[in-house]
Amino acid sequence: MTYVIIGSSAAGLNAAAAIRKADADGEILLLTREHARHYSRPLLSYYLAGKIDEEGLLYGGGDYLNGIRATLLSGKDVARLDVYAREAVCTDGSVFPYDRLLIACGGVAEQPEIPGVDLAGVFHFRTLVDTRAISATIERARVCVTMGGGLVSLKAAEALRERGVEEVHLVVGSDRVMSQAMDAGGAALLTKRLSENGVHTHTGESVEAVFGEDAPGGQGRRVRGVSLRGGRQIECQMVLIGKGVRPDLSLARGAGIETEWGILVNERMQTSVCDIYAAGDVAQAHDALHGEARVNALWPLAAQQGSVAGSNMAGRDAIYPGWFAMNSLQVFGLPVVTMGLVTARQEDGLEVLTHVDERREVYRKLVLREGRLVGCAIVGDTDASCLVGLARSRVDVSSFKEELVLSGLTDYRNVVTLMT
Amino acid sequence: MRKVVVNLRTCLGCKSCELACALSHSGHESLAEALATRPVRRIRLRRHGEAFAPVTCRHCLDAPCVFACISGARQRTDEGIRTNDSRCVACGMCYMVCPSGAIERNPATRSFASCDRCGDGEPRCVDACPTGALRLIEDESAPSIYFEILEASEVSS
Repeated sequence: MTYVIIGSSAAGLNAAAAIRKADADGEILLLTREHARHYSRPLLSYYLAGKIDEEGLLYGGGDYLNGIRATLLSGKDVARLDVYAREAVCTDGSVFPYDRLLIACGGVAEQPEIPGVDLAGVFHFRTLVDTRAISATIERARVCVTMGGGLVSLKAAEALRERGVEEVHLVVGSDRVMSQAMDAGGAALLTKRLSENGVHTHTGESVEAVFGEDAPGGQGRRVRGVSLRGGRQIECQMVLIGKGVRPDLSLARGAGIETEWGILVNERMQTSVCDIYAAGDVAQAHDALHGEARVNALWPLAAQQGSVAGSNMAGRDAIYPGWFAMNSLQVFGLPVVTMGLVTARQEDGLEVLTHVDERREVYRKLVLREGRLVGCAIVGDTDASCLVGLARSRVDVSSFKEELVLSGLTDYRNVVTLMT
Repeated sequence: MRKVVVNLRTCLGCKSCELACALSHSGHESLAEALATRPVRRIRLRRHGEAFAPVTCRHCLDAPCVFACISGARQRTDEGIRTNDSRCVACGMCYMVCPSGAIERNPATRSFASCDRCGDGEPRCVDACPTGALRLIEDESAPSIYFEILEASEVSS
């Protein structure tokens, strides 16, 4: 049996591990268009900050793929799938026949259509190559502007400050940072922590143009600053584009695989085409809190989906339970946990409970639907444990919701059901 | 696989397990030296209605923390689930997804820790328990057994 996996991140790596667990002999090939080893994308900000080296970027360490006897071929950009001949064909002409195929190619970064994005000093922050390029020019950058205020921009800002960039400006289209995954109350604490650390937030703004100057020595044009919609200009030497990613559907569409926002998959991560599976940021899978299929481009979900796909590809029966959006990170030491329908309001027919302690820099918000937890935002040094478990197991929390929002789970009787 | 189970009827809530655990992971022999390092316990006494429940990692077979780990630091080994501390970046994903609340956050060091069964030896929490409420058993089949004595009625109440 030959398994071909397109992509080598969370979904692909966990699929390979699950396949090997179920099939001791099959050949497992991972193809990535990047010229890189099996690194972990969310670790790039730690790498940029200088906290880990390139070896530290590798998921599970340098020997991970040897341990599961899988082969990663880098620089292999799959151009099209031949679903009748059961082959993946790469741009360099190489052909990889498969018995089972997993599409785990992830997303593509949104490219803003404004003047000046082609200047030297304007970067995406998505791949190892991007990160090396940022790192190589960081010494020249006294001020950096990020287009977007999502999670990737926040972690990039933190890394840039740790590397000695004096000021970072987040230019955010909405009314707050992390608008997709955080409500106003939590975002306020984040914004405060950011500004205390030299990261300034400009909400309701957008970059209209990047303007440049001649680089010394005839090295072409480079960034000198940005103009905002509101008229303001910010002088800067570096611009990071963080406008989000969308699923890369080119392969799937070319092969006639059903897509919507992402590649549509069932609970076994099978696509509409026989023996082709999809997982991770490219897949649109069941989300138990939303009650519908969604694209949730998040590591824990991609890893679970990859594992489920891998098990099924190798002949074991595994069912994806429908994980939902969730994230945990620390921004300048401020812990943040968000989950599910976090931006929901009372008016949406949901019950919203909040607890704010400004002195301790703590913000806690829970969102309940019919007594069950469907969302949370927990910011600060406060208990965020068990909340994902309570939501996942659909525990009725109405009898202890007050203590849950105030301080977290206190009576363990309430989580015994999570453990059976 | 060996696992620690708790008899809820005989747990007194004395926290000897917490103390022994913190000491064991402090890197010091004496309690006085250990206290100076502000060690973090990996077993926590929680309330369970009128009773007490010491909670620690159950080393789940299909562990969400392993999937959630962005660096691959958290992996299942033959001895249970382990974190390779040198690869951990303290993002807190494992802490967030653990259904048991068994991963502890240390605010002082901004790091996370959970039960490693004290390496290869006897878990110190089991040794320290004065009533034998904590026991070490050999059990391959039942990842859900953690609270040993728990009637169905107690679960639902």
